[in-house]
Amino acid sequence: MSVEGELHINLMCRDRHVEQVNIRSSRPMQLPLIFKGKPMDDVLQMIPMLYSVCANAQAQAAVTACRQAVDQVADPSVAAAESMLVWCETGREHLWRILIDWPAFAGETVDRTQLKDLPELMKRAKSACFGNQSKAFSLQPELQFDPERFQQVIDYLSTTSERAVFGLPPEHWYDMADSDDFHRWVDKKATAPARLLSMIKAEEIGQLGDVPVCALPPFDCDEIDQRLQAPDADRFVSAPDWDEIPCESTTLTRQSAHPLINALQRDYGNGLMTRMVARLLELAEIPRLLSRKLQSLLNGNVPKIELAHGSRGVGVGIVEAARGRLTHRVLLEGDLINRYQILAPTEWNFHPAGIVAQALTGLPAGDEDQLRRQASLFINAVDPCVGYRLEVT
Amino acid sequence: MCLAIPAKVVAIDEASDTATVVLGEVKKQVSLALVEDVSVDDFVLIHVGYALNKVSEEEAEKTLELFAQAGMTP
Repeated sequence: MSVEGELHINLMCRDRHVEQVNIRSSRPMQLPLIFKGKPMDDVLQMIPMLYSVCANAQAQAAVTACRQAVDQVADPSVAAAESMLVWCETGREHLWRILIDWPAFAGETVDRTQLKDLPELMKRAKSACFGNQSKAFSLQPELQFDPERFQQVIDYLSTTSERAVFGLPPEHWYDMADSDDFHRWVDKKATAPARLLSMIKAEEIGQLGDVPVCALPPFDCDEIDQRLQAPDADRFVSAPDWDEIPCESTTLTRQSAHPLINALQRDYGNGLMTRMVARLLELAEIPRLLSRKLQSLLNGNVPKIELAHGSRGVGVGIVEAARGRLTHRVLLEGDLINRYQILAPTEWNFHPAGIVAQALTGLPAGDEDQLRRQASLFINAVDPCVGYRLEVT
Repeated sequence: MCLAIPAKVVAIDEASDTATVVLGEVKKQVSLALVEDVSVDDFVLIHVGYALNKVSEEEAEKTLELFAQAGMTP
């Protein structure tokens, strides 16, 4: 078992189909316990070190919760810059996984030249917003915004995704609304991602895992705070539900209003193809989204942050991270942390009765290698960075 | 959410673009596809089979100490 923990996904087969899916987790839910008794400033330094894969989303959820707990209102420009960093990180995550995992699924080798500079992207973005890295996501933030350097980060995301993923400017790809245009793009096979989607079409597995989606509804801080202070909060954090339904929080639920998703749902439902396209759409959207946010910041047109009333030492931070909605809650005792809770999107999506368990149930199991490949493709389309072990019995 | 763990590089296989890293007593093979200029004795953050980026020895030790506080030791 790895230190970082993993999901154990057992596909139990009968009569050449997956009859039941058991998902167990050894993910270390106890990690936030080490924050008890520590000052918030220390914990805000620790969180991005510990949760370094989505460090910016984690840091934003943490600082939002901490600010709320001490009734601190973030400067709107600081909050806007933090949000831009999270979207940058989401773009980097999508690019990374699409450029590494998708060629491997298609039997191609990873083109390292396309990954060049990607590992340093967040350092560049953070430095363009806050100068000194330690001034970001802090209770004493110091914005030192350099619009030209941030524009370079946006340009990098745009040109890399154009060259390696879309073969055309990402904003043009995002504006594609028609499934015929999409299929023409796939059939040209101009990039490795298009070739994988072409393979999925040829194998006729685009509908794989098509089950109804129950999207996690928007919730406010008070609602989730109630849930996280209930006596069964630990159970909730490891297997959350909303009104007793194990909801989904993924790129698909975020992109569900896009016309191309609606068009593809007619052919593929909420299956593999639709989910993979949702990830492409979000990647395609991010450079333009960041450009708009940059313009708003430069024009001083950023939303004001409302002060949460009567926080009484409790704060909640809710952030849309690359894999779905992330929630942090902090409870203070004096100036120190008494309780810290993290509710991650993995726990929503890999709930024992959640979207992955539902979608893998019923997969054809006549050929074990094929079953493993199809299950891996689906899991990767939901959350490409979770560590898991697949067992077929 | 996903964690990345610091580990020390003890060997590099350029042909396969992989490294052997040590986590406590455990040795693991990880891909170096995402990082440039990694040498033996460097520390890297590893996550599901990949080295994500290099970190200083000081940062690696600090992070491992935090994991140890949570009872998470390799």
